[in-house]
Amino acid sequence: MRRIRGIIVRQLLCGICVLMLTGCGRAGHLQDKDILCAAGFDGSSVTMEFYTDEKCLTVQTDDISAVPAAAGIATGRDLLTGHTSLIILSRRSSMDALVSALKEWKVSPECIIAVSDEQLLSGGEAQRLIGSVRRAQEQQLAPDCGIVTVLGGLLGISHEAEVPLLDKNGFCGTVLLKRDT
Amino acid sequence: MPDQRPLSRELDQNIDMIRRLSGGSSDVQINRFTAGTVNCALISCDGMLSSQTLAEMVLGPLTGIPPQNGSQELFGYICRYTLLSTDRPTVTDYGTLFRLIHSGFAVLAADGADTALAFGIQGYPTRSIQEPVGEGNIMGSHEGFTESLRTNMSMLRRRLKTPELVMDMTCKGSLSRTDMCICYMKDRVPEELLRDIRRSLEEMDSECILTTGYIRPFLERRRFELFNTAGTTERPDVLSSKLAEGRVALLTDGIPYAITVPHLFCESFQTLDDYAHKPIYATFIRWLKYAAFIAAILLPAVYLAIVMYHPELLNSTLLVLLAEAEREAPLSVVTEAFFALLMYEVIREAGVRLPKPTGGAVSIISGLIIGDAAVRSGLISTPLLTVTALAVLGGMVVPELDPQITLLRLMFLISGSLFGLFGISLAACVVLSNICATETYGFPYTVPFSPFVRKGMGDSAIRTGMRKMLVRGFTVEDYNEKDK
Amino acid sequence: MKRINERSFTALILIADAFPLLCISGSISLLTVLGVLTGMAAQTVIALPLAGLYSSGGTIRSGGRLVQTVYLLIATVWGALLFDMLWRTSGAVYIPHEGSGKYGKLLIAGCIGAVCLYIAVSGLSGLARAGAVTAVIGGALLLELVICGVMQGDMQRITELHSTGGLAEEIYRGIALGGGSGCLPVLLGSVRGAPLRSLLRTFMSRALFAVIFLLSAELLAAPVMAISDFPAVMAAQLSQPFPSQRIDALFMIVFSCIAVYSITVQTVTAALIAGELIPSCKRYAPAVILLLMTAGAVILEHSGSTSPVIAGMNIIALILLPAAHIIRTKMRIENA
Repeated sequence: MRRIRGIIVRQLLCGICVLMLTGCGRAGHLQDKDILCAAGFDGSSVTMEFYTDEKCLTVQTDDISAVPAAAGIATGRDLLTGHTSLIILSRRSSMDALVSALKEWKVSPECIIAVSDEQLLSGGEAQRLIGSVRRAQEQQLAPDCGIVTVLGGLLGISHEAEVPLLDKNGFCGTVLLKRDT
Repeated sequence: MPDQRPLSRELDQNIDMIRRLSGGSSDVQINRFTAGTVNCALISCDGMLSSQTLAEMVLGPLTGIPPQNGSQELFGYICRYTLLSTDRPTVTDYGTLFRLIHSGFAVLAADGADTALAFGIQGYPTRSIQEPVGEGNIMGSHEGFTESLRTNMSMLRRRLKTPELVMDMTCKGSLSRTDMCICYMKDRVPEELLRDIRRSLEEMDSECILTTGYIRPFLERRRFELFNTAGTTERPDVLSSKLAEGRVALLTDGIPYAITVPHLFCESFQTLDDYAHKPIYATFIRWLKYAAFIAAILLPAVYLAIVMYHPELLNSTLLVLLAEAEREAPLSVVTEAFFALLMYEVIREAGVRLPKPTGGAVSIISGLIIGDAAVRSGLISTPLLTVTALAVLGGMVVPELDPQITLLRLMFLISGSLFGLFGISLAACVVLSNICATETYGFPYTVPFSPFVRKGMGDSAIRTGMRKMLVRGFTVEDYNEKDK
Repeated sequence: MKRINERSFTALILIADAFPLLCISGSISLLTVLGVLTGMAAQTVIALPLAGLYSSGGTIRSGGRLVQTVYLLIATVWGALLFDMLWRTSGAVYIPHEGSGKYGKLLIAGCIGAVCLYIAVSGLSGLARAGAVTAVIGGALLLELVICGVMQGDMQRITELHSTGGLAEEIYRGIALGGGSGCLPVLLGSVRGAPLRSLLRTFMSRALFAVIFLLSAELLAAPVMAISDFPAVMAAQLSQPFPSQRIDALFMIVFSCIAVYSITVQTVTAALIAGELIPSCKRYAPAVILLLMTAGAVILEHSGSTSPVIAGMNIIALILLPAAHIIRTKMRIENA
């Protein structure tokens, strides 16, 4: 009886493994995913640039945590947000966007936060803008503007954080981002 | 069961019985003659002894014996004045008679005696001492064990010229009647270990002993354990070092491997070459082996887990590269991984089993056709093939653990593909628990890492200098957890 | 009962402590560290009679069957708490399938339960040895957190951090974080060596580990403490030693291993007692206990903060056995 039970248990385990493995077929296609490089959030829409595609995508939403789902519907591919290197906000952006980016998008602590008054992302611009900010940081013209540093400033006593200001020529100064009341 | 019936005093009866018991086997030779006016018969097995030695050293002297007054006087004369052979057991039953003639002895039976004399004049062909195939070495001896038990015993004795080395003969296998030799150093072997091993061997109830696999299960626990707690070695120098640490070894006739008990996890990463190099280099190599072992079992699974579930662990450049490489692959990365690993196992097994002349064809087929063509056709992506190759190479650094590495690699691959790094962690917990619970005769398999024994770290985690190692007075008893 | 050495005992208790620390929720500050230290000191003093009992030859049976049943209950409740903590934190720690609702949660619990069952069945010595190895791996994580905390952390920010409660609440929280307190009285009986020395060494190690861990987590997560649901997890996410290479998902490996061994320590503790109380059920005890723990976790899932209750449970665990032994001895003398 014990032997039969053992055989049944082993066969069940193997069967479960095989069944579960069949479902992994879809998860295994890395090429079916878009890897987010930079995102621009102006409060009502999010513009995105990717590593894997020269094109740009804009989705209409005021909730940054809904962006991956909306982008998935627009492109027909899953969105990987963990490699986002640049987030561009407008002057009136809410801190919630940054909180969502850190907690739900799980961006790297080194993700650059910058502010711009224009729509800068239009395909292939992200790397240039990121490089511009990094060079400005090396020349000590731009402050440390990683997402954690910026959030730390907004959540701290002063409720503000200095971030780079960008225009179509790249880094053009700094601006104080204030925590919305 | 060996025939325990005693020999008869009548020579003719003995000969009839021998013929009947052997079923008329043509290799059993019975030569009748008269020695010292006593009717005798010399029983031997064709091909097992040297005919020249038989004629010169046995038959010649026997026929020259002066007249004796009966078989007892004849045997007495032989024992006192004509040695004939240094190995002269007395035969009292048919079972022993057959075991001896099948081991290359010639047995002299005389009319009127219910015992017989056996003379060890083995002359069967054996393989000469060659370099061990499974345990490569650069700076040490290039001798390996052979199938002849006596030769192996002599190789061991040459390296340990001390009366403390005891070689205790026994015989196992109801059909094969295989000679086995239990070797130990009586001044340092734990008494309880020796007793337990003897008890385990007594419980062994095999018909034949053909490989170490017939013996090892009786020296290990019945519990499912991934790793072997009875080790093997093909090298007499390695065996000598293990005996000097108080371990017990088993040499078996017909098997060119010695079994050592207890066997620990860290021993799989030790080679004799480690002791020929400077400590710092030897330590580096040892850590390289540990890292290679981990890479061999985890690399494909971690790659799979990262690609499928945790792509943020890769930097963006590498991720884009992988995505490009996977673009043309029609299969999921899981299927590719299993395909690559299983193909490697097939190629490896074919390489071992194929006759040597066709071995080259395997290299061409596997390397060029499967490796190159599979990538060009897009069946398997290059990064995955690279990862698989690295894992396979890592496993070759520790050949003794090859079966375990293969199984663990597949197990981690399945868990990684199902649950990512979480699944790998769970599988690692299971393996860690299994390996830590493994013990043999009170010796934990993971010692000296866990339980931590500082004294043992000098020859496992690192390799301390030889002067320090020689004075530490280490024996395997330091690892014993029984009765603690 | 199989014997384990002092180091293995300390490792097992540390692992039982480590998981609740990893899953700590809410804001942490220097007051939290002070609360933990105070709580640990109080527990050390309270546990001294326990060491005395074992030194004089007492065992877990010295308190009677009722006391053993209480310890069984405490270990089972702790296991349920650990499962609940695992479910709460699984989303933050990248565990796959956690987003699949109840199915995902049951799957995670099932996998961990199966692994815990296998380890529990392997025996206490195997668990002790594996626990020591896991403790070393956990130590490596701690070292990485410390180094990153010192290099990247903002020393000034941690003085600005505030806890939600006062010192009393932090002391309760500190005591409630001690997952090892419930199983310590049971496992102390299987230690080779002096019980008092083992106990003191264990409590010192627990205090040191908790303080270093909390301080490192504070240093790293200080800028974003206000938005951190799980400060320790956030600290691990932010501790990136290499700017171009993220390693935070590797934290999940350590997290999972510590989760498994934490739950297994509680399971083995409960199984040891269950085996003493009902010898015929010894074989099935680990499986039944794990099922009860999972069921308990489902019930606890919707409960609020229970720090004072858990703290009380830990204190009872440390004091119950010696107190019951004294009472039983007095009653025996009076009856005699």
